[in-house]
Amino acid sequence: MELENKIVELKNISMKYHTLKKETLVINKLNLDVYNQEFVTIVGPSGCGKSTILSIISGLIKPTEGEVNINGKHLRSINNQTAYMLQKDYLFDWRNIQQNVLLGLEIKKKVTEKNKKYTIKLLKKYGLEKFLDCYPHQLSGGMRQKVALIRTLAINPRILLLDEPFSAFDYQTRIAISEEIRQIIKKEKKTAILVSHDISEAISLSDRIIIMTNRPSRVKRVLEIKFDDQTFNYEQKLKDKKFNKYFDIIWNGLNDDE
Amino acid sequence: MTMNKNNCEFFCCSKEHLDFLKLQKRKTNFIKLLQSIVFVSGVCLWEIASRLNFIDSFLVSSPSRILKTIIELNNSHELWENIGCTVSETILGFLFGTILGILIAIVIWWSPLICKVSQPYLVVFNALPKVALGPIIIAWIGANIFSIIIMALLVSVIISIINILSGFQNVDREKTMLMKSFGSNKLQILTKLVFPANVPTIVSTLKINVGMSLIGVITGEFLISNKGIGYLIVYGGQIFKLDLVMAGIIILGIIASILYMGVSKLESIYVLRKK
Repeated sequence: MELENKIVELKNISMKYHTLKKETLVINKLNLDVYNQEFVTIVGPSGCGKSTILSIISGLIKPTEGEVNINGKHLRSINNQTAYMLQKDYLFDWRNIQQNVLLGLEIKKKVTEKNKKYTIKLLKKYGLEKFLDCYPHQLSGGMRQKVALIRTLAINPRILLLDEPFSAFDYQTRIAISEEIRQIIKKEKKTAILVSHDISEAISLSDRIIIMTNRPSRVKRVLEIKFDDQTFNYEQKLKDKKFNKYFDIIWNGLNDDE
Repeated sequence: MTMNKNNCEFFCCSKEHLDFLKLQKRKTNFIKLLQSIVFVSGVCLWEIASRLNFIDSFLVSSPSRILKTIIELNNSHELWENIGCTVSETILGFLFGTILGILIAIVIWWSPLICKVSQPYLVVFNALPKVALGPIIIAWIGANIFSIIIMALLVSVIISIINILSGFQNVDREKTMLMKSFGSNKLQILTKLVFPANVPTIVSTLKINVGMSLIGVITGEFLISNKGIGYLIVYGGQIFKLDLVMAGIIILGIIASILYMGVSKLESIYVLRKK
């Protein structure tokens, strides 16, 4: 890691969900730091509250206990530094691509000429300029997810929260689109926190992997991912011998019960 | 399909494709032919049966007598006056019912508390035959056109509320979450997501409402009876002139289909514009 400043800091986070029948402790005293421009992936058994962690970082939900600091500041409500990317693209089919991409700016009432230009520039840079006036149903799944990424980037957040954004694709598309999106995120110098249940995706995309325990979850293990060549792409990483080593560590980490 | 190439899609025109199109065309034509045969033979049988006295034309009338009645109505200028009355009442009831339905659905969607409190009332009011409210409306508003419009409105408003509200509530939770993650407030969620996402629901509610408000208007005219197609039918029944009743029903059928086609046309314009 070149940059050592903490951008996200979770301190002793606990989260309880209440239903009429019972109370469930989902997250138990979780501590997690994410550094600037880092790509971190959270993996864990299903139901361990991975998505909840993202919602807490975004400010959509408040943790029952604990403290969230974004960029050194205590988080109180929805924060302007984070933006979400979800499992599906959730583009609005009554808006064309340009209008879809500007959604976030519109909501924040920040549709200025400058911001608009920045957004169009992003669309151009990543090969979507031809589709400005098209509607989402005219685009392929991969392109739609790319549009969704640019919609997130348009509000110029520092942290991207990725909630299994590639899981809806078939294997080959998934590799291509996730590699592409990782590169865009790196190029735009963003910090990314990805939630995934796909181990190979986690290894190939991240700088660091956080392995969670079963519910009530906390951090079980943190794994630094370092390939010999920094410029390896997804495919090259898959074929590297280190890949299997990392895979085993995560696999065992997810499966053995403490 | 090469959808990404261009905004328009190209159809290949091989011989097989042309044959396929021809076959489809023939199938639709065949169905249209059958439909016409059913209509024409039905009318003919009816006419013949009543001419030959197989059926009592006093009770079941006959196509020619119905046509004669309609022509008479036309000559005495009663026809268009009554049609105009029924149609305008229907359109007014339909518009107010839909607009009110949308507004109430928005209010209920806005406040989860109002939603929960209003639930049982909506259920009861939906199940209640609105005709039963007729005497109350007449007592309150009087035997005039407004009572009829209110009647039409009542019949269509509840179904609009229920349909549109369920459309509002079925908007993807993730889409709402996406909006919230951008920091949007409730009004923005309504105007930028929930409402535009439900334009198709509202259009399809319009289609149901045309029929609903026509039911309301005819019931109203039955009760208040001084003008309109509903009045013609009731009047015909009272003086036992079944030709008039039948003519009224046929005119009503034509009005209903024209109104319905009008709304369908609106829908297809909307769909086309979206494309």
